[in-house]
Amino acid sequence: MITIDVYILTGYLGAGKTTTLNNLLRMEMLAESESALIINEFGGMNVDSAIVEPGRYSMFEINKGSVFCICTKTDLIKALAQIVQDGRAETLVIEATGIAEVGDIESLLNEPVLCGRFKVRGCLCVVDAVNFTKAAPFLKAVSSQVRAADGIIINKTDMATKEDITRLRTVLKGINDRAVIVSTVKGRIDQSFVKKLDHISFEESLAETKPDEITAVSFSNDSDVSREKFTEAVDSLGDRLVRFKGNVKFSDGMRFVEIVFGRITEASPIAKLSKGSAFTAIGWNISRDGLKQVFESLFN
Amino acid sequence: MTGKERIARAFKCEKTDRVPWVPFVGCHAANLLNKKASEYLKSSELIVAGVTEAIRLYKPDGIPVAFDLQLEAEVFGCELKWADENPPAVVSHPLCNGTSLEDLKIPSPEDGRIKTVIDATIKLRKANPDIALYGLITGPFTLALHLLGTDIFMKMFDDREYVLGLLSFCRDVCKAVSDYYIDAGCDVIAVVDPMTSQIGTDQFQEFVTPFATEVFDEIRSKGALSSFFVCGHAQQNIEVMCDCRPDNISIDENIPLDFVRQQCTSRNISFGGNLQLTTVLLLGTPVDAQKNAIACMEIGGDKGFILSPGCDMPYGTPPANVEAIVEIINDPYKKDIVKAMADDEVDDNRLDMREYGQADRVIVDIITLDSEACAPCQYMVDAVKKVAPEFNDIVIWHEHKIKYRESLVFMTSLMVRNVPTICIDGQITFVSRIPPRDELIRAIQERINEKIRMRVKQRKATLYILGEENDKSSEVRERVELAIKELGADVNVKIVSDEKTINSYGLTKSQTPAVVMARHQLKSTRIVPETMVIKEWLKEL
Repeated sequence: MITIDVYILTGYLGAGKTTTLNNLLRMEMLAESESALIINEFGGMNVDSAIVEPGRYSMFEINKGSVFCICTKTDLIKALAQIVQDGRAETLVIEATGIAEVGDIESLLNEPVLCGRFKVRGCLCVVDAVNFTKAAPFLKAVSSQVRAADGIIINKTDMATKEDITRLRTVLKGINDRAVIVSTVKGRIDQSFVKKLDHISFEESLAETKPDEITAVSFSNDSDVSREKFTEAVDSLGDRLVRFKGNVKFSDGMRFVEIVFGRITEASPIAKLSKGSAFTAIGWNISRDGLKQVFESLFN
Repeated sequence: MTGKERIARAFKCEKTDRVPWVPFVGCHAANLLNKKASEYLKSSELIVAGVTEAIRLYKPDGIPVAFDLQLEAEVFGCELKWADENPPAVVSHPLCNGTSLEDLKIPSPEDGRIKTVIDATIKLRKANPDIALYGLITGPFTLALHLLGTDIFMKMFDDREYVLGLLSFCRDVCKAVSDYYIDAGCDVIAVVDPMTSQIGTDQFQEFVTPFATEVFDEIRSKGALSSFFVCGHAQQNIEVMCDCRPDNISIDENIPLDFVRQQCTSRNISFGGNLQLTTVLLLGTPVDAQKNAIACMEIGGDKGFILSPGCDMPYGTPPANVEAIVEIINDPYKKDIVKAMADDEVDDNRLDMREYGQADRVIVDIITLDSEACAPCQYMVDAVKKVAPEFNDIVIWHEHKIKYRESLVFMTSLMVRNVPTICIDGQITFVSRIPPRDELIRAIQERINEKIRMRVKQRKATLYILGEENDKSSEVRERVELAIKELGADVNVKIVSDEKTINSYGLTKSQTPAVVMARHQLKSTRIVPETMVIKEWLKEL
């Protein structure tokens, strides 16, 4: 049976997925074959289809109607069935929503009604060099899309330091150590990177690795915090403290503290927060309870 | 017991006379009226007509008035993109476009399509006093996401206080809209918060629990029932959803129903779900829908479970699929039959019955649940039992009780779908109907006549003259040929002189010349007949 090669492009909203998609569609392997494109963005209705450059591909938008999880399944199946019936497409690119689970897309492609016509060749995840660790603890799909990827594209590297990118790579490797990782700006990737992708199914990827946890804890407390203890806490966490943000009520006064990958900055406190300390910390490779314990010790 | 009473009992985890049934008919009702979803969801008249039609077709115990999670968002200025066969989608988020949280006000019952739903509820309440009406509100987290967009996930870190403030506002909206719907006549308020499936337990406890709990407390204080709807991969949050103290939790096919049952029943919370929306209700057959419903009912049990689709039913769901579910809900007997047939392995072991019924005698098979336990089955067996002796030994009959696996395989092999059924020589002849005596006799007689005609056509004979070539055997041959000629019979003549072959007929050389007549009857061609079929042929000997 002649199958249609499928590339799934994932990534959180704002990571630069659509720019990457445009670059992908311009590649010889897609530009010179009959391609179909399914755009399935969340919350940015019509924006993606307007941004994606017109080409010789047939485009399907899943963005109409309800965008909630299972409810998009019906429209996605309809689009896939239409591509099968149409019979022209050799390659299909699915731009998944930032909240999509790759496992769901894969299981849809295997629905009996589609007669086994689709074969996933690669799953690419675009990661925002600056904001990935901010969103990851709060939105499950951010990590799970990285976990399911065969190739990870760290995008917008011009907006982050070299050190931050190195640390981000380590975090991403912790979630998925089999995927090939490239760093880029404006979603620029080589065709060879895409061609070399070695796809394993979502089910297999679950069995293969146990991802390092990215977790967040928030605190509100009126007690004073000793600077010494605070420094000790941050040092004890080392690389495991990915981000920290909020007011800390030090014994010598309230300060706004922000930590990104170990880089600490201090400023005047944000007035609208509570009278005492109010902050959120994001940890990696540490349990939520472990992270919580470290910062709780500041108030004892 | 009325539908409303059934729902109320299930919500209290009390036993009900049968499983309560709540089809989530939203934009699908537009299809029932041959209207577009975009037209339907804007008109209280169409909503009343659509829900009324759904009530007529699907005989529910409870039903939502409307299923549109963009309704409140629209009131706050979120732009909607309307679709013909789906609810609308939110395409802009006011809090990202210059509107401040302080600018947003709790909507009144007169605002936007909240009024449309209230008007429809009042009319539906009056017309359907015995059905539980569900008022669906957008849950606080999903509403917050509509207002702020996906920025909310970044802001959970960057500006936690702001997100908590936004969620407090959304909680107040939920409480207000719940009150309006309860006052209009809703019995159940479903807090639909699908986007909570996107966050983990810790974030749920921080950003959902405090707000959702207050909404459920408000609904309880107004004397109404509450349900917490979620869809997607939300298994991790079921326990914390229970902690919000809803009366019921409703889930879709992404979460195993037995897991939810375990979590909910241990906390005395009822639960519902999770018929598969796309693969079964939309794309499946009525039998698929029945099988799926039975699987849910088996897991759900008879206390605290409400059978429903996982979410808003797709617009194009074939009504026959939903009606098939209604059939088994209201008829335990039909449910038992489908349940027995639901074994996929039985289908895999199906027999090739194309040559069944080629024996000389007529075989009458009665497929029953069990004639000792099921009255219609008993009457059908009695009818055959009384008639069979009139045909002496020509008619033989068997009862196949599908509680036994081999009978089930037999039934599916004959493509029988209903019980009780009478098959004559493998042909489905009477389905779920006890034939009057004369009709049954006529059917059997027709088959006998047909067989006689076939027998004449299919039979051939061979006459073997056994013995070495000599005068005696030549004389036998001459007389045989004369007899055949005089009779005009269609008989082959074969001479067998080889001693070994003669022995194979059970004769010795000293007994020759001998004459053996053999009749041939065509039984099958080009297939490998089932052993069961061959047995029937052998019985003729």
